Amino acid sequence: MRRRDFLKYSGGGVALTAIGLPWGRAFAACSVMGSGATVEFDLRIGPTTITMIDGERFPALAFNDRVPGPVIRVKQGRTVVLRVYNDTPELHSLEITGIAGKWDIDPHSYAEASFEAKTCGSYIYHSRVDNSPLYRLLGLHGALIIYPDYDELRCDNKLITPYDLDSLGADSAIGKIFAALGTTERFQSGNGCDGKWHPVEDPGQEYTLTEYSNQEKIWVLAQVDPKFNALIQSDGSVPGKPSAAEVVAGWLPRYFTINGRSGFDLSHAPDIVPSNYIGEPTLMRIMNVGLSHHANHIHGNHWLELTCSDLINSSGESIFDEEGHVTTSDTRPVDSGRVIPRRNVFEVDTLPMWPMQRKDVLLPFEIPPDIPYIRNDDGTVTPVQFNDMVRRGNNLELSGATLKSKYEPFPLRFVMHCHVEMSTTAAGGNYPQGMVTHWQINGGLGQREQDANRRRRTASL
Amino acid sequence: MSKSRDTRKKQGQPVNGWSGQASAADTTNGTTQTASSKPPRTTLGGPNGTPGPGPNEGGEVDFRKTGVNGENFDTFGCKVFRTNPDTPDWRRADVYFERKMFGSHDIRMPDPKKTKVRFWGFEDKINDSGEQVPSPMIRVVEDQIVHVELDSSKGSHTIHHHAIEPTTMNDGVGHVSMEITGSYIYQWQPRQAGTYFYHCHKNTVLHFEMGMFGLLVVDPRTNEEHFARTGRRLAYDPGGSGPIPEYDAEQAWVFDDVDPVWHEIPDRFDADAGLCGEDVGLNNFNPRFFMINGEPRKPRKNASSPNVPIKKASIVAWEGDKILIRALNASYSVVKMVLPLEVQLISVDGRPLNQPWNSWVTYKPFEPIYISTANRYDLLIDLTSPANQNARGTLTADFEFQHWIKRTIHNAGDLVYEGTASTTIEIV
Repeated sequence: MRRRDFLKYSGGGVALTAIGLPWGRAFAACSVMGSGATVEFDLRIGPTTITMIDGERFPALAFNDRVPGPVIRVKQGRTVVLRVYNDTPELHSLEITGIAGKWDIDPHSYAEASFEAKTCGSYIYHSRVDNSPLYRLLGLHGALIIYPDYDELRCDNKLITPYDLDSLGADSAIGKIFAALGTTERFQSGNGCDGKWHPVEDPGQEYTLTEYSNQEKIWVLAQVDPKFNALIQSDGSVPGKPSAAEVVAGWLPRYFTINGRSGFDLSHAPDIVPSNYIGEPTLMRIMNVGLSHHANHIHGNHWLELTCSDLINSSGESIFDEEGHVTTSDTRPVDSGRVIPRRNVFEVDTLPMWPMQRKDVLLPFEIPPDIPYIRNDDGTVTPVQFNDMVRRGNNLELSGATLKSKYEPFPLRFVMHCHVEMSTTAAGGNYPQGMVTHWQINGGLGQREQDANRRRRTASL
Repeated sequence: MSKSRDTRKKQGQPVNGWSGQASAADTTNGTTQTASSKPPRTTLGGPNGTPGPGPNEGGEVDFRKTGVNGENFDTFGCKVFRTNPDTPDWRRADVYFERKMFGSHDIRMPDPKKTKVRFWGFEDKINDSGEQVPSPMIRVVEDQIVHVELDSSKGSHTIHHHAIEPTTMNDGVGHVSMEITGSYIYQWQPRQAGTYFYHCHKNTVLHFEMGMFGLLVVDPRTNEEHFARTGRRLAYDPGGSGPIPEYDAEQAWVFDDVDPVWHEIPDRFDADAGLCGEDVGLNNFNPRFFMINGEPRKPRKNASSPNVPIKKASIVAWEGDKILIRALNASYSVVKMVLPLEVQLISVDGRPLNQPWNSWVTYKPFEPIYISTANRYDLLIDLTSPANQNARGTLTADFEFQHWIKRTIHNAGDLVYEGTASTTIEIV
């Protein structure tokens, strides 16, 4: 495959020229207009262009000129005001999964969506008119994160979690998992904070625009069917809009993306690829804004499925109860609702991601269990080969590494791909340029500092 | 140090276990099966590898010729590294397997046109398995060092042991390691008993669909001791917070859906179809045949007649038994299972539900259970439970294969090509 173009991920919104905007101002990824108990963000709906892995370019609709829209993170308990500008000639309507409210935004006007950030977890904001997924599929979607007040938490606190432990309880399944991190044979501990999960935020903030950190990634799963994008006019209108039923019946996606990119463009993207050491568990917030059912398979470690969301069918019914039992005959989701912290946390290598599903999973960064080890008499395990790898310290991403050897080097790289493998393609072929990426283990527990010193030494030579 | 493939001899018998014959009667349990005229229980047969160490002693690897050293746009997809290195960090194996790619196995489907569909797969040359669909099971015991040699003489392929978590070189993904054109020995040591599978991870979208997969089962290390003591086998080591996961009868349900158009792609293009820019339609999947354990569903006679049960998926158990079903969705559909008995989900994706943060899930009789592509559910049916204790005779389990986007049953209402199936559970 010849790549015609390479779209480097900008990480934030591309600033627009003021021309064409009725308010005479440019939009960055997010404009923060206040702080304290109320936090305000600006969003702008308008046309844009997206570029696929094979260089094909298609019209799209976007929040703040990017697909997906900017990540919005707010602290639990705050009042959020999203000021949404509609820079198209058609009605749009903002909805946020699991948060009550629907805010119509007239053409070339704006509306303020105000709500309280009540329940910690991961949400999708999107535009939906006439109960149709069309605008969402054309690009109008983004992630909103509500996080607990980390102010009083420090790394030596045994129960730092991304959720509200006051309501979950330390004895909850999630509480037990985060308590186990750094304290067991499986979830190793080192010095100080090693082994624990660390939140994105600096304590004390009301919000943050940080899209990712070492130990937290957001993956927005989506698909592109160019024949629907082709309906978009340069002013952002979609004349002759197909009905919701026509969209579902005709949806035959040709590109499958995470955070707007696919294949090779995902394989080294810092917002996508978890790249850590043993004992640095990573929270992954995964959301499916498309219509395809995905089954995301991770190699190297299993995921712990912490939360899911209440899937809702076209009659407004919940499809599953909190224990995962089917409660209705129509099991086709068109929306999702409240965050459900799992009381029964499955450890999965393949994560079912039905449309509109939002799941938070923990990638534990444990030593891959099936690398040769010794089983001790007391039943515990000594990971002899991995320990040998750590002792040798041969890392191909650090200079001076041995390229010919009887021994395998770091980093250990493992793929993640959708196992409904049509999603691993692009434009009808080109495996694995679809929903495929990596994660990598750079070394053993506590080796981060050691490698950083090596890098510094190498750089100073 | 090079491979001494030529000195290979067919060695010995299956290790560490009971009968190596798939679906054979369980003849080792004298206490419960003697003096009985009952038909034998369904079993999958025991560990079936060949005692180690196998024919290789490892050696030096030039990682510059592999994706381990990083990849660029070309080696990520179109021009993946192809090499046949020795296995790094070589250890003596306890048990080894060989899997040789086959690429011209035709199955006549049971539709009126007797459609001929081409399948690929892995053949077990050591045990002369022949060309089976799915490929022959790999069954090992926790803590064994396992070697699986891929013989990939027809084109380039890999083996990914799905949910087995070894090093990158042994994980079988071409663009982060290498595709094999000759042979490579994958090395791993399973730490957790459960249900897994293995498949080719090259152009996976096509090679998986062509049939290059098989079941992989890891038995717990205490299995034989437990069996000697209780007459029952274990899905995984008891302990943790859950009940004892033991069983008398055992069956696998491996679901597969077949789009005959896709199975012609390698002939119309080649085995690398679509890898380097061609649009070969691999985003458009329209299955017309539906199989469990390699047996295709037969057409229904008329709209009111039920499905013909799939024999290879059927279960025979005795009153009071515990039945373990290892369900693997190897299709690209969302599969709906409706079992006529109370069922407990005891393990998911090779991880037991006995940790401090999880527990078994009980499903009522006829409650639908959905399984997504590549998931494995270990389902236990306890015929002594209050909900099941009066069940007798031949019961039917029903299945739907639902479209990955529309979630409708494939070809619904079409007697010949409908995405439904059934099998039987017989309690004697």
